[in-house]
Amino acid sequence: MNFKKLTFVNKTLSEIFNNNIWLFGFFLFLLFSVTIDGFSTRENYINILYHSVFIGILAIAETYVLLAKRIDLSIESTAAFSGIITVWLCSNSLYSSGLKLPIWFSLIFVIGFGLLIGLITGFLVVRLKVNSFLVTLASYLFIRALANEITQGHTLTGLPSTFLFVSEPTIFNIPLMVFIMLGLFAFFEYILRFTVFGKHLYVLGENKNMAAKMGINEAKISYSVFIIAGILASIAGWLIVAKEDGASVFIAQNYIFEVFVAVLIGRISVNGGKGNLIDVLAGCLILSMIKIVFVIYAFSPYFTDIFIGILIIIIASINAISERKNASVFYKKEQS
Amino acid sequence: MLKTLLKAINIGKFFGKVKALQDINLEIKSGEVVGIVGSGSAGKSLLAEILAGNVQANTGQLLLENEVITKLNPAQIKRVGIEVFYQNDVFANNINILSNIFIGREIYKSFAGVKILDIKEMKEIATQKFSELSLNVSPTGTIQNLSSSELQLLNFSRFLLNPCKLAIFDEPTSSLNPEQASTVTSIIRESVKSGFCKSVLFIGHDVKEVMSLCDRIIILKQGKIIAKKNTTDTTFAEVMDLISGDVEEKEANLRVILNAIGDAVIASNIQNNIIRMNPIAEKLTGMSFDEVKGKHISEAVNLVDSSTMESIDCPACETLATGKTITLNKRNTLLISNNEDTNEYLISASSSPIFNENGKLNGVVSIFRDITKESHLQAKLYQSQKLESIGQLAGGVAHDFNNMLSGIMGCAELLKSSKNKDEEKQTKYIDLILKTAERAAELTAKLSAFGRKGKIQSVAIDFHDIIPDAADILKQTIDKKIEIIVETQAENSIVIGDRSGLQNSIMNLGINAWHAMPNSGSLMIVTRNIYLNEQYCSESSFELTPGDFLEISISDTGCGIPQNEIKNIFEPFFTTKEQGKGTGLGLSAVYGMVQDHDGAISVYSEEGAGTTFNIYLPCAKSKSIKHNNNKSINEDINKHTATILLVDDESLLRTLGKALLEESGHKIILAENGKEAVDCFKENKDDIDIIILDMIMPIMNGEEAFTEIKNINPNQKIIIASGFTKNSKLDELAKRGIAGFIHKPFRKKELNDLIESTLS
Repeated sequence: MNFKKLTFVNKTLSEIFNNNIWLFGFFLFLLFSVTIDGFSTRENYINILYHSVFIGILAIAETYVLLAKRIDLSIESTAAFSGIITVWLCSNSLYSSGLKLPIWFSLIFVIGFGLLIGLITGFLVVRLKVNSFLVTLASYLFIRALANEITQGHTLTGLPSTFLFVSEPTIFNIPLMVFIMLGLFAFFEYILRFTVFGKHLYVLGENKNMAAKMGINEAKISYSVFIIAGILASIAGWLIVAKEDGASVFIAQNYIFEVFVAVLIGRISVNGGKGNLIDVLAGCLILSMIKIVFVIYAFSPYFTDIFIGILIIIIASINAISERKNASVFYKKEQS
Repeated sequence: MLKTLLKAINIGKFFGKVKALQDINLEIKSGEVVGIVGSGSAGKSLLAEILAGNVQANTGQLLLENEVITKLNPAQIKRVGIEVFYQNDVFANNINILSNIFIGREIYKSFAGVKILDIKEMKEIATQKFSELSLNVSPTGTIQNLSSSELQLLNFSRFLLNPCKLAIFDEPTSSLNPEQASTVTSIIRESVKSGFCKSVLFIGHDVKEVMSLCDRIIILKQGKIIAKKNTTDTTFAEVMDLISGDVEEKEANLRVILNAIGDAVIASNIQNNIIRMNPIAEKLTGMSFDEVKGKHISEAVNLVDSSTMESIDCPACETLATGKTITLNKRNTLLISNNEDTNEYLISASSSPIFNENGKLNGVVSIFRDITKESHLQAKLYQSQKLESIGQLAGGVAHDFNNMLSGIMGCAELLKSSKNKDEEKQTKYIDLILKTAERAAELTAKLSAFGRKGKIQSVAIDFHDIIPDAADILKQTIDKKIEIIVETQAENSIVIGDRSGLQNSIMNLGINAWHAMPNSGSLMIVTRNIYLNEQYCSESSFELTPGDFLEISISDTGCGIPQNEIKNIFEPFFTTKEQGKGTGLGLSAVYGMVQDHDGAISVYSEEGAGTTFNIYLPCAKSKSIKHNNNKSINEDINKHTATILLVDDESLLRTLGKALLEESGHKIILAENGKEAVDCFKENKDDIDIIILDMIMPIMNGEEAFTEIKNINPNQKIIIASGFTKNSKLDELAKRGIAGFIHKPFRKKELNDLIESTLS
């Protein structure tokens, strides 16, 4: 009897925390719509989606790395570098390269850059076995600084109008970028779910020893996730400048913290092997809603940072507790 | 001739200095099922991990179809066609059952270089394989809820997915029930037969299972291959022996342990024939193992009841009959040794059954402990303690004699108040007083002697003088039918002590002997010199100092003392005699007397044969002075007159002493303390023959005075007088040469005797 009750409580908890992020998000959405004046407008809803695009793409990158039980702090800087360099390469601004290169070249260039960063991180982490936190903490610092060194910290503007092909179009009034983000989510979730690589990524994240025994090539997967993260980050940076029509030293500043809020709400475990991108998408939208609310109430940016910092701690704690609960439920089943 | 599939050459794996595996050479031929068995720590699983490439070996190489496998890692091993099925760590909890069993062997379609899973196909295959194994799980379910046997079958189901060259199984049936296990083994056999898998290396925990499945088995022990057998050429028992091991090593271990045991250990088989015994057992039985090996245990172990001398069955026989542990713990079991001296050992014995692994009685192990010494020590301790406590009681009883004194005082009062000088009546009162006083004195003396509170004279005595006197008195006292034989064999018969006390002791023992021989018999008194060594003295319940002793043995040919009464005989008030005939104090007085003389007494008795009392007294080194018995009888006449210096701080005693000694014709000089005595001695040192010196005095005590006087004249005869019994201080003085010891208050006869013997 007692045991039944306990399983019920546990189930309810895990229902709420594990599987129904979307339900939670919807609840929040209704709550805000009803209680906050000016929230329930069509423009605002589009805004929520639009605001989640860059965090969303970076969250996909971080999800892949976390699933492999690694961490990547450098994606924010990679995005920033890509954005700044894109403007530097393509614009006719005073401080740019003056090359006025075509849009496709800049895209290929930044993707190549993201791949290179991913390769270097992979080499350090897989071959030299340096802790991924330390490697990416260092690259977080120097990659952004590298871009600023090139532009000497000047704000660059004057992108050619070709970029409007990316930023302007809408479908049912919803910006194209939202669909790009959703497409990326769908594609990478498909990879996780229905490919050999996806399965091996989960196995590796769960148990490295076992993955080795099963003949899974750990190095290949680890390289892959860092490369995917690098490429996705640089695409995000490229999209940011397309939308913003320029780049300052503050581009993508502190995005990494918001990315962690999003993936943590999306139940991605920092212990590897757990979670999926559908939940992460919900995490991104929830974060986006909260940020909009902050804008509506005109909270100071400092308060927003305080809030995000504390939110990371709270969600990480909830995750840790529920992971332990799940483990103990599993343990009880084993015993009974 | 079968083709060689896999060859492992000289594989070795070390962890630091520990050689987990070494010199592993094995060859697996195509179409063969090879088993590896061994105990838990043999290194089986480690070998599997090395063959799987999961653990890197320190030495050696692997050849598949005569080609060296260069990169030994799991992926490479898999690539060359070796599938390994590990015991644990084979499932991921975060993916479903289907994904789990297909890890590393997924079915997919490539689309632009991306391997997309064919989940439908995989599900079909999995469902089919699960039903083959009668495994009732849903492919889309989660791993978490499965039992250990289901997990093991799932792991095995992976084997069915892809054909391979060699499959290595690490204990694939350890969690399965027999039915499931037989399904698994039959599938393995079928697969090899059908060529689905060319050969199998099967690491097993169940030797029977491995032997029924495999063509060949390899036996691993402590990281080495100790045997390779074709299953048709060997038996289960042989394999088990090989696994459990190094017979010689076990034997050596067992021998060392057995030899170290302080008790006799004899192991016998189901027929109770001896199969093993340790050196202590050889000593106790007096037979060597070679002599009795294979013989019935009763031939070596000869047990008798110490009181009835009837033989007792060895407990091993009963253990064999009942299967229970049998213990003989009564202190009456003697083990009769079979060697020439036929030693006897008092033992405690126990036999326990030996069961084999199936719980069947296999033999008996019997343990015998020599408790001879222990038993003696215990008996002595018992006696000593009991006497000590009752001795105190006896001292207390002495107070009751105050009642007698009351009678005496009553008579004295009557005498004093009798106005008419009726001489007859007065004499009657006086006689009554004297008689009562004498009786009281006699009894207190006995009691006190027993309680070590009596007055003991310490003079050198030739025991050979005492014995004829005692014998003479005994001859007059006891029945004429009893012959008294005296044999004085001792060369040194001088002891320090109380002549009358010792004489009384001999008399007491003599009278006891007479009472033991109501009809006729002989009483024998024999003296001998023996040396008691340190060991004997330390084990004895008496306080003995190792050295030369005079042994006086008094034996009779009487009825003997029953065994159960022997331990009581020295207790006060213990008597077997009729009411009124004995006080029960005789032997305890003897005991106390012997104790006071730093000696020992022992008794040996056999019912119907007689009793022997042995008294041991320490021999004195100096020659004793011949004691003139006749003189002491007539107390008024003294041969010698002497000048005596009497030193005592109490004036009453000085006066009394002076009166007593002057009556005997001596000349007396008095001194109040040690200092005065020394001064007086300095003045009259040529005249003074004897000094009687009190010990505890003001200004200068007896000991200091003794030292000073001895400094002046080392040969000066000094008698020590004291109110206390002998003590260690006195013993010290005695070593420096005292002429004698007298207990205060002085009695005329004693005083005269002592002075007489000192002078002569």
